[in-house]
Amino acid sequence: MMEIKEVCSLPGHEEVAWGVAWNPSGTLLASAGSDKVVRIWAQEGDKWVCKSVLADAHARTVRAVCWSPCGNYLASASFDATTSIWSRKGGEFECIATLEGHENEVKSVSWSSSGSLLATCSRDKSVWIWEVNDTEEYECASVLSAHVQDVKQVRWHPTKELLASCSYDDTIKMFKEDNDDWCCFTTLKSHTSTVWSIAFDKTGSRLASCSDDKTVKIWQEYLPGNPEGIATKDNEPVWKCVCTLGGYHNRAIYAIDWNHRTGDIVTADGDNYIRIFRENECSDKNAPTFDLVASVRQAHTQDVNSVSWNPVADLLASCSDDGSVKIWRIVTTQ
Amino acid sequence: MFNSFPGGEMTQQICNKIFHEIQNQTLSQKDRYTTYSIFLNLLTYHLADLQPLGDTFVCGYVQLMDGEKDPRNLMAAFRCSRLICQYFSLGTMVEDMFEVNACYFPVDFVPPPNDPHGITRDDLRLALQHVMSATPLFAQYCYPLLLEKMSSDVQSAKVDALKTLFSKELQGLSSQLKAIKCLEKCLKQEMASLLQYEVRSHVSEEIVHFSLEAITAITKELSKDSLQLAAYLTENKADIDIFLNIKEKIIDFCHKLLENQNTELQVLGIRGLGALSLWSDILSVQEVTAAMEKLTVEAVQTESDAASVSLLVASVVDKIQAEHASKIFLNILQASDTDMLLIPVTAALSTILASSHLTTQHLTVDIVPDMLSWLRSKCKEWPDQKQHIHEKVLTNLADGLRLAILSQDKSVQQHLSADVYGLVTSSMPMLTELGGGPCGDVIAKDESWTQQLLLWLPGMALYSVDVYTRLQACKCEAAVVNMMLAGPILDGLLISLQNKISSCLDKGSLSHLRSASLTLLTWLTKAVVVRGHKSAFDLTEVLLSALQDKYLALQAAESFNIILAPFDDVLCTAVQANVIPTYQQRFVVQTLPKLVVGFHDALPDNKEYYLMAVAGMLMNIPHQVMTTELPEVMPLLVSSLKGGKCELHKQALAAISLGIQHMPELLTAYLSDILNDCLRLAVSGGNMKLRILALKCLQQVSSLPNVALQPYKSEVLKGVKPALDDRKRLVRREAMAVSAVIIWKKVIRFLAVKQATSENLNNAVLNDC
Amino acid sequence: MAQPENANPLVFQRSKERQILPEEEDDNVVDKIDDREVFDLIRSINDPEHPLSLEELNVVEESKVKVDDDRNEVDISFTPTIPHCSMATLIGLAIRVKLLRTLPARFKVQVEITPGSHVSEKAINKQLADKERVAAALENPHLLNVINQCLGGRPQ
Repeated sequence: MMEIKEVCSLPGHEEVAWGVAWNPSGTLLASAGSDKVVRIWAQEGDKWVCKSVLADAHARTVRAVCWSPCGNYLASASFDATTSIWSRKGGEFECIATLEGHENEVKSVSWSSSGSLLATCSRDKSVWIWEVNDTEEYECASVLSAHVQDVKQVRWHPTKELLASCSYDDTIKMFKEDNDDWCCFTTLKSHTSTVWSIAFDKTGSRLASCSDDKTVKIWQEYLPGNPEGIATKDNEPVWKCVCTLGGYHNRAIYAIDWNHRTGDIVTADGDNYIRIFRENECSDKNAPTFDLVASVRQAHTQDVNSVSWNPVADLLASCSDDGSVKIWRIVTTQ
Repeated sequence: MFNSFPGGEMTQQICNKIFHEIQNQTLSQKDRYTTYSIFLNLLTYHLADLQPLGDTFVCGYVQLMDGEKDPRNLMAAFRCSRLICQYFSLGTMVEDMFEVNACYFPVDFVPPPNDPHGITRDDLRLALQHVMSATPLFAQYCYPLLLEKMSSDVQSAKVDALKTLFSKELQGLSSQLKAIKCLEKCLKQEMASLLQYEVRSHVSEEIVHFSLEAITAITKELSKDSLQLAAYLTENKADIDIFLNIKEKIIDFCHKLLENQNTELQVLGIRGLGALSLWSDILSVQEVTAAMEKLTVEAVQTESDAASVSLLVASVVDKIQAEHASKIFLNILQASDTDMLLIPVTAALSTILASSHLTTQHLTVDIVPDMLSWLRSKCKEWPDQKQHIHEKVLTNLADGLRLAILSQDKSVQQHLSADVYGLVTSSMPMLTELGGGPCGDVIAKDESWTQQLLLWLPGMALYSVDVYTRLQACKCEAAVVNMMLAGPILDGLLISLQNKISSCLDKGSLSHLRSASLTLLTWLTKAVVVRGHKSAFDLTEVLLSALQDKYLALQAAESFNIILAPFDDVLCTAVQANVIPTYQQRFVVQTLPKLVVGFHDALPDNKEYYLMAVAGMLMNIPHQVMTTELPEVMPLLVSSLKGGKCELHKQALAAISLGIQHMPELLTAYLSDILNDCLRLAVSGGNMKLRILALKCLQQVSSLPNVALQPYKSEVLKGVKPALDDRKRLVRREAMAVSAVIIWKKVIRFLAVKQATSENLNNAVLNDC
Repeated sequence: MAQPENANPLVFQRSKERQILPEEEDDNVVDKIDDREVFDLIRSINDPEHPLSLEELNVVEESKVKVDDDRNEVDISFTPTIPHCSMATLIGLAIRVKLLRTLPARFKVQVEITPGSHVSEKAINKQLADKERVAAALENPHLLNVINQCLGGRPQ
């Protein structure tokens, strides 16, 4: 039996709280909101408290936050069309760079596993890839205009320099570098409405996506020459939808995260729910089945916008339209 | 896409191509929808290019739409039809155009289960109704069709026809002469008989209901357009008979409804007659009067519901002669065995008495004596403890009498007042209300009357078993005291009254006697305060001391409000009472400081009564007085929001609201306290009236142009949120108003800041292109 | 401002003010939020192009407001006056914003175009349902200004 127990509810954001992200060591939680600030939370004794408020960098809603793999940098994406890079020195945060270029709202930001690349996406339909050099300077490496609509989220592969993005155009696209240039090598189509969020599993050979169509889909990578005999083209891997979780969610699913330690998937939706799914032990890799193992009804009093697994502990963070950020503990009992 | 379309000749070419080369009926549903969309676009954007096509276009469209079956397409087609009817002269195509649309009437459509398109039968019915009413030219076909459907056996068809017949659009049609003619025919030939048929056979309440609605609507429409109607009738003398015939049929029909056993139908009949009586330009005075008589007799006999009668009565009072009307109503009063009609009829009588349409002769010889004699006999049947209905009847008549008497000159006033007082004194204790305001001055100057009244009024005020009678006696006593000539007699009377009251107020007395004497004290104080008599000081002291008494404190606190509040039936200039202009100011300046001192000295449990007294006074003082006194009492009011009881909170909130209104600048010092306390009371106040008052106060504070409010906006917005979800709708409404004010201010501020930084974002966020 | 697209809209009558029933004065009775209450919130919204309310243009109707207080659901369909009305998104947004500001936050609000009444029905419905876009729109001063005008001048 798995249970999701509320550890604490952290008030602080004056308005909608849009995004949460744990640092790689799992000690700090960053949250972003319509009040234009980023808040940094940490444990003090047995209480979670707000350690810093990162203000004055953004003129509008901060939509998303992401920590660099080394944990020393935090990126924040805002509706003001910019992305800010914050450097953490001791307990202090300093805004060291502002990435400008998108025409309008930046919706998501993601750091590659090496920390040398950053991706952002926007309602302007483009995905931008930025290179980070040794002197903390950020340079645009590529502008990818593969989507035909608003791009909702970008996420890097856990180990490779491979980027996935999802969009209002109902598709997911994947990008990689080819001869010094970035290009889209595959498009994942199956959702029937906006794909809000995506997450790779630990190995990076699977991707989970969630959508306004109220389903979660699991996609499996098949390399050229795969034993299953799935056809590939141009010597590129293909991604196939191997599982659709329908009937669990009653409203749009806004966020999904794949736990790299336990393999559990967590979702957050517009019906105020948080749900955890686990792959059935005896399920076939090519047609896996997932079970709903735990859920919290009314996790927040309004839509849950973002959800994130702590990378080291059995903790979960979520945030909501009601402005609250919550930390949850996963308790497994016999 | 169509915005870049050049229009002009191209428009006509497109139409001609479609008309000639496309057989719409052979296309798929989707493609037909496209056809209609094209026409809808052209009709909207390029109407001027299409209009020259005239009949050709109409003819082409009629052929194109003919036989359409799909509800989605029909919705679009009906929209096109409506535009065509409105903007094209249909010429020879009137009937075809009507037919191709009206063949769908009544709409026969049941949406399939799980219909993804969501079009309902009612959507189609309305869209079609818009077409049928789009041009007056359709009237000649429309009414016969509706009439035909009304005699249909299918219930829904009947209801649809009736609904359409009295739809707003179709009423508009009837302003056209042709439509009127049509209406007449329809009434003459079908309506009346149909309705009679329906009533007799009890087929359907719904049908009868709609029929009556239709009649009422048509009647109103006809009376509105009486000029046109008159013109029409002059031109077509032959039709006059027909017309009168209809009129009588409707009257007959309403009468039949009245005679029906079913109360609902009776009510409908009454409404119908009410509507008829509005038709004053068409019905003669005699006819209205006759209808009235018929109605009231029926109403008396059938004990019809009072609300409908009063509705009717109110609607005819202006229409028939006052003398005649007053007679009818008196007749009803005399004939009626039940109490049901007493209130509406006395209200009507009161209206007539107050209307000053009555001659002095009529008033003095007929109405007043008849009314008084009816009252005299009636009050013998009433119980000692009056019920609401008796109080209401007396109030109605007293109001009318007072106004009627005041409208006469002095000698007549004296005469009538004597009549009234004669009745009051002989038929007491029932009728004190009559003696309250009307003619205090007349009586007070007549020593014998004064003596007589003063003998028994205080006794009644203190000892009557009926609360209402006690109150009226107090008012009456106050009126007399107010009007008596100053001098030793008055002074002596006041001293003896004060002694009497003081002894009754004594703790040893029975509790209801103490309460009664406090009421008398309140009114006496008001009487002398209002005329500026020196005894006001002493009497007020007695009131103030009553605030310390646990049993009397609440009532004493309320009395300060009574003393200052204006009443329109007693102790006011309207009834020619003895009133000095500055009495409120004087009383406040004298009393308010004493209340403040009293508040500080009072025991904790008693403090709230002082606050209530203060709040009650503030409700009634002029702006000038307010501004000098308010700074003094504001701290008390604000502090009273903290603890205390619900009633106190209410009083304090009302007074604070008032205070803010008069002296917004005073608010700043208390802003934080007021906001916090109001928010607390708005969300958790145990009484809905209290929550509403707290929210109203918040609204008021929030709408002030006060910079000090700035830092609190978010807090208030957050704090008021739970009230948006209050269990009571009336509370939610106020909470929304608070939110609206604050959000409005926030947005304005945001926009001002943005403008100042001249930010310019051209692309709309929601749209992609 | 340019000529409105629909220069001569049909004007409908406003419904009467809601009657206050005795039970609404009784503090012990719970008044559920119902269709009429929500309709009352949106009917006075001004049309962006005409000096008329959405109710007077029949863009909103009480019968097309569905409220389920227990399930926290509000579903509204609105009908643009013409099928290619470019203001449809704006009207939908105004309705959404009005409810965002006045309804308890627990409600899930759906605002859609009456089926069959607009050529871009699907696209507009999708935009109106995208909370992220709606939120961003409200940070755009131009749009906010227009919406504010739709929602009426200074509240009373």
